[in-house]
Amino acid sequence: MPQLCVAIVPTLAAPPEGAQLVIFCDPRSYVAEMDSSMMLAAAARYAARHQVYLVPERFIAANYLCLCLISPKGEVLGAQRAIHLNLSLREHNYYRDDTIRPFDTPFGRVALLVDVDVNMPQVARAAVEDGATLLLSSQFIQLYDLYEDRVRYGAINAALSNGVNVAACAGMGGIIVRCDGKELAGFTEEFPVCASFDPSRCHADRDAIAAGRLLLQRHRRLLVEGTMTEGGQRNV
Amino acid sequence: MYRFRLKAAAFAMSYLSSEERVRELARQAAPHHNGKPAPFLSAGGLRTAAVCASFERLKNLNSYISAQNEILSRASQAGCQIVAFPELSAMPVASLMPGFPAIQAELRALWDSDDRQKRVESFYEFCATVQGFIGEIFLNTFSQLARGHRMIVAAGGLYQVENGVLTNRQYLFTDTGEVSAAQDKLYPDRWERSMGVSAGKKLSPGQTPLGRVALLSASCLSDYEPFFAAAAAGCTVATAGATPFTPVSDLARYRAQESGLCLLCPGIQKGSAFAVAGSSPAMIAAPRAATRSRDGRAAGPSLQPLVTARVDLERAASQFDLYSADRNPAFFQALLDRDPANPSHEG
Repeated sequence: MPQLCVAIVPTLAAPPEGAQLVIFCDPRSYVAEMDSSMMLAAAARYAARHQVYLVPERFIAANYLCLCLISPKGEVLGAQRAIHLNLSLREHNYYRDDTIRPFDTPFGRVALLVDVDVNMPQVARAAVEDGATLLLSSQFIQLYDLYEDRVRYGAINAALSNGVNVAACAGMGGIIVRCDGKELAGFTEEFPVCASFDPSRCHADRDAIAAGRLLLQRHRRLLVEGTMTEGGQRNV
Repeated sequence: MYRFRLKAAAFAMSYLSSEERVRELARQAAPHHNGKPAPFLSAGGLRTAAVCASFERLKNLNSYISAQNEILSRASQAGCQIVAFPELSAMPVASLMPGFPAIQAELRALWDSDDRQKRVESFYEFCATVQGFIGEIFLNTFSQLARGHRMIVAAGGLYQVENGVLTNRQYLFTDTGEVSAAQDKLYPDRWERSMGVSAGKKLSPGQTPLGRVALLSASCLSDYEPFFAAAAAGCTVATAGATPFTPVSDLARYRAQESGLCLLCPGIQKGSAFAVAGSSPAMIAAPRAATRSRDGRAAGPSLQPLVTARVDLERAASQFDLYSADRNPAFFQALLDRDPANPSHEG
């Protein structure tokens, strides 16, 4: 399969030559619901103008924090609602989704990790169980909390643990990690962050994933009644 | 031929091994410290240690006990309350059995062969024969040393056959010398699977004065599930040591961060005696707030024989992370309820 060139660029900045998939990197926490439609319209025009697949900024829709992938025709190929929220967003009474929904694209099955979902290993693992081979993440990190290891942490963990390719942006930086854990474009605030990889390569260890699921089932009671429920009241 | 050699060695071992002798030697090496308090969680946190062991052929019983005692003495002098050894740390004891070099040479050829049945049979037979001899020396040594130094020791372990099932078992000793937990390896490595080693069924943490301790291995590091289960079971500390097949990776600090556990990752130094191909450094990882570092490394990675670190898990518990503190029980419930054979494919 041909290489896929992924670029992380500041919102609406022109993509580097040869980029096929672009992720917008933005310094704000999300696009408010009243501005979402205009933002998506601008993103669709950008994707069509530059003939790229595009993951625009995180936006609010129906009280969910969302992320989507737009095709070069300007159509929404797939969308994902946040499954976990950072605690400052929980204060705003936003809802959380209960399912990760990977979807098929010309460069493989893609899962979108919205904001802090990239830090949650169970979300990336569930996406890979559903066949995802590429994880795309867009996260907001407060400036006082933004440092290299925090951004690298989520992306490298997701790639190494699941054997899939990951492209993640956070604040004004980004990182692209290959399925074997190699940082193709290390965390940097120098834009664009750009790298190419073979999207068909995937090192997911299905035996280990099955063993993990079995282990969860065997400790089901402990996990459901124990720490997993703490701090996580149902959607407010 | 190896069967005959093993039988002869087993016959000789039945005379050689002596529980009382091992206990006496260990007692001499580490007399019981009556004045030392039991391990406890102090305000400043927990002093932990991870061993970077070398798997060498042993000269005699005394040298084995002295080597283990030296490590524990150094940890004790550093004020450590818990020490972790790599898994399979007891297997070098097999080199004490009579005729070991000849048996090893013959078995090595079988284990490297393409005939899976021969490999599995010979490995099973070897483990079943030597486990009594190794276990007697290993268990009595660490029981006495843990008691003598008043430390909690995750001592590693050996291959063990029970009810016809071969597993890689690790042991946890409390400061009173009791075995607090015996954990069969949950994720056997590829080589182990090819040799017929079965996976453990469940996580069985041990209760200690420092809280519950889970015995995991480096082969678990790429999977979050064992660490989540350990955290849910109320563990504060877990081991995730290198094996001769899997080195400790940077994933240790990710697992520590997301599960809130202090992870002791013992290492292995390259050695020729047991064909350990490469060195794997030891490290100690914990949630960032517990180590007061930005990357969660409390100590290491290092090839020094012993790495130690202070870890303040109370501090970590009180300083939640804005970005990984949320839990979504509905998602987790759906995850557990989902049929893996029929995943959702809606876009």
